[in-house]
Amino acid sequence: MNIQTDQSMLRRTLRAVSCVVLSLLPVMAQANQVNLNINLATPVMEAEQSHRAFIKVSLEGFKQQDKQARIPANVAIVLDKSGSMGGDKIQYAREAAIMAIKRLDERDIVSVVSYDSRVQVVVPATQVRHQQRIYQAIRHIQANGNTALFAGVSKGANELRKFLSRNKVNRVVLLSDGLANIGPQSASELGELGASLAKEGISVTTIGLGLGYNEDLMTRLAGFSDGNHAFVENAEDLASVFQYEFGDVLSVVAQGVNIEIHCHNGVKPIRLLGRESEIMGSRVTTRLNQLYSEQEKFVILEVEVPAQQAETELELVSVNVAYDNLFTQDEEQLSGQGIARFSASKQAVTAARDDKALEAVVEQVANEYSREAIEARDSGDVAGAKKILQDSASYLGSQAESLSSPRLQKQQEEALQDADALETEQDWNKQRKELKARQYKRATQQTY
Amino acid sequence: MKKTTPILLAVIIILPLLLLAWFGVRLQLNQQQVVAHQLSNLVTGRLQRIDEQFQEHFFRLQQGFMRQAEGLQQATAGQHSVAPVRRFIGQSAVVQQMFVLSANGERRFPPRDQPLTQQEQDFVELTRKLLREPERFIMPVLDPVAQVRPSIVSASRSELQSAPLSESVAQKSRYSADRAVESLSASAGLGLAENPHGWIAWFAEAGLQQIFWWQDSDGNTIGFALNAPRLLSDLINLLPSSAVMGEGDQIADADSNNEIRLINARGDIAYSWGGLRADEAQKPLQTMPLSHPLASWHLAYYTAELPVAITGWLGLIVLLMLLGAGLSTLAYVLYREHSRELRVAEQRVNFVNQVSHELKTPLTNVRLYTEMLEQTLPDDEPLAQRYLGVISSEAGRLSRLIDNVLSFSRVKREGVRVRYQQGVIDQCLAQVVALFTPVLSAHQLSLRFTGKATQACYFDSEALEQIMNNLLSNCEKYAAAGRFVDIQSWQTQQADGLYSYIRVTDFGPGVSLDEAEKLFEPFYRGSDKLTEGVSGTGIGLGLARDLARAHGGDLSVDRSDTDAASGACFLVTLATPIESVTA
Repeated sequence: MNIQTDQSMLRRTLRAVSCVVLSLLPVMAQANQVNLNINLATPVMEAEQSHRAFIKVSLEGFKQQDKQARIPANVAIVLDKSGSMGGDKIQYAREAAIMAIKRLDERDIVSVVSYDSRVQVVVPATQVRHQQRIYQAIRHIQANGNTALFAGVSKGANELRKFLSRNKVNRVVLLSDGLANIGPQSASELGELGASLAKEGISVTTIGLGLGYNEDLMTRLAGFSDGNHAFVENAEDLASVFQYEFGDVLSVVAQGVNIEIHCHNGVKPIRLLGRESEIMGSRVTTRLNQLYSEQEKFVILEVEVPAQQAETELELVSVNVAYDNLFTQDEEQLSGQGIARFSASKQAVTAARDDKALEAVVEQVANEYSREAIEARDSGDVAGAKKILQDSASYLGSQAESLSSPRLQKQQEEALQDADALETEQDWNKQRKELKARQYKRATQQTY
Repeated sequence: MKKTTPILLAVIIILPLLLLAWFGVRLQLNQQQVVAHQLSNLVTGRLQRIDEQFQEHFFRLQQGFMRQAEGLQQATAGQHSVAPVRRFIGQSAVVQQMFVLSANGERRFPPRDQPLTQQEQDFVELTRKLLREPERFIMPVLDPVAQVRPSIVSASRSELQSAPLSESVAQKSRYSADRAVESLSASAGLGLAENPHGWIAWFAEAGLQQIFWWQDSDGNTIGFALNAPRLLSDLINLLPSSAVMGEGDQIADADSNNEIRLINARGDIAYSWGGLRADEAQKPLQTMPLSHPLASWHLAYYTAELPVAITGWLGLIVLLMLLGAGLSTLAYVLYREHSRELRVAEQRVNFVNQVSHELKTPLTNVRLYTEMLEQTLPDDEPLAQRYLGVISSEAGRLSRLIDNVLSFSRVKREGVRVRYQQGVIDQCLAQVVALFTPVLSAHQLSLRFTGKATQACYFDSEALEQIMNNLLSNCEKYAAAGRFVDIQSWQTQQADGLYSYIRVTDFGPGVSLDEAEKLFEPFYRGSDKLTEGVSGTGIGLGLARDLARAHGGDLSVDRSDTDAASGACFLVTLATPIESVTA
């Protein structure tokens, strides 16, 4: 009897885990398909009590098999040429743009828009064929004037629209070193524009140069349109950032990824870590604009699980993912579910722990702390912010130890350094930009 | 004479120049006004075209929304269930949120009985007031004529208005954009617009928020709230971008010296383009408010300082300068000619003076010896006596003539000088009369002298003699037919001293009224009829009058005696003080 129950428990555990991890095994066999993984940080939970559980929903882009068979890109480079860009900065920016365009070829469409208080379409959307002519036009860009960032992005997006296609990677690469001061200039307005562009399949990558730009605006614009964001302190580094960015652009394998998570059986969604999302009753939706070759993108959903009896299984969530596969040019669907098991044995709980998923969870939770710290610091509460970061560090420390994860350790060190750096006012501007950029990268699993 | 000529010439130059300059400037200013007016018309046209573009954009949106709303209605069988609407919102780039009101004003979307997303909750909060008044959306379908007027439907507050786009634009874009629409859904295209619909613009949160609403055939009112930043982005994309500098900065288009700004409800610049970078202080040349539903926005047109029609001004200046140069040359030539003539005349006068002077000495001798001969000649040679008398009188006449000429030139040169000496007027007159009696009697004229100016006084006897000589020789010349010449003299004591009067009356042809004044002008000699066959220099009367005037009196043609029917009557008035005066 005892053995029987043990056996049945083992079987059930196995089934549960396999269900969670490998619900998409048959799909994985196909090469040109996105992998959907749904992992619970704690697949086995203690019975008879309610839990806060974290579910990691991850998508991994398939490998781009042939470098030559990549997806064509449709890129608009939007360069800030306001007065503050004068001197070296604009020169580096021009060279970075030229270097980046060198990676493109005839399949791709490129356009270059520059803006100060006005917007100039330097290179209208064109196939990358006569490269010298494009470079020539870029080299003519001179810095002066104000910063009409909104109009610049609008015109850049408009250039993209000329060749807008679901089969291309449509991206605006925005470089700015200053505050938008002509046209809309609030982070929320730019965020709404980003969201609107994302619906058309355009994402905006924002590169903040120097210490003068508005990191909230830039991260929001990137966040709502699922582009990348980078903080570049020295203009010399622009070239490498542009290289990374174009590397990303050229390795996109899927676009327009909609993730819809339904919570079942009284499970209540609390928050989605890392990304903008909509929570509506038991439904959570979010979207990624693109998946890159061999890159994992994930979201962490925190849910509240009501108390369950021991030895029961519960379907917590079901996940539906829809995306455009750029290789097959089809809209494809994936689905899966997250199932938890409940056990009275603490050992079983510990044994079943999914370390990798938990690591990701801890990373994102700490990232949320970091955001809160910025908010506290913004409201002038330096001590509070510091405390949040220190708490975050100790949380990271303990988890790093139990998971023996060097990544978390590193993050802990960062948190401690950040806590120290909060104090001085003059460093804060730079610190904030760094923090914002780092948070953004963590949240979106940006590669650079 | 010397001074007036240059002044006159200067006036001749300056007057036409001034006139021309005035007219030229007027013309130029008018032209500039015309140019400015044309420019302003052009600008208005341009701004209006932009507004029309925006209206077309809204119209296209409207067409799209109506089709989509109908599609939603069909897809959900008029129920507008939540999922498809949400899906629609999720896919539409331009729509921020939607609402659906049922025919009885109940809210169907965002749903009342289902959980809402944060965004939907915010939207419900924002539009609570708007949705509570469903009559806002009940706009009777008007016939097209009435629809032209943007009717404001029960707008309790001014910022809240609902109106269809102006019909003209709708008509216009129906030709351009609606082709596609019709081909997509031929049945829907026209019928949809007949349902009540309109745009609402109101201030929400940070700016103007636009909602398009449309009532479907089931009586549901479907509202599309636009994504405001996206709308602005689309509008910006309708507007041109600025020219790219570079390639030698060759911007030859019309935009190079102006700037157009799109200014939002808060007065901030939303977008600007053009080659000019107007500074803060500059005033726009023109502003134009945009039409509904962007009513609180406006366009502002800035331009560099009005392009002055340099060529016009330059032409005017060149013209003026040429004319000035021409006139000056002409004036200079005239002046030279004139002064040369003056010089020649002066030389002649000098010549005459000199000749007269030269004549005087021999003449004096002639008279002296004639006189001596008269005295020494025995009385028994009447013939010789008579001849001598003629020689004497002719010599006297010649002497007077020369005196006249010399006096005239002296008067012209240095003015009249009067030398007062004590004497009696009548004595002086008597001498003159004695002198003239033989001369006049030769012309069968007899002098009748009535002297009553017997009081001794100070006067210039030479001047008086000269005056009388002139008057009497005139009588000799012109009034020979009159038989008599009357000379009367009298004196009156007046407030400022003693005045002597001498009236010389003849009975010749007389002087007409018109001529009276001209007689005194130098070198004037009465009418042809009168002067025919009579020699004269024409300076006598003028000189006489100058002398009389210098003497504090006058010489005039006396009219008190016009009853004498014919004959001239000259009245000499002289101020003859009793006490000595220093002249």
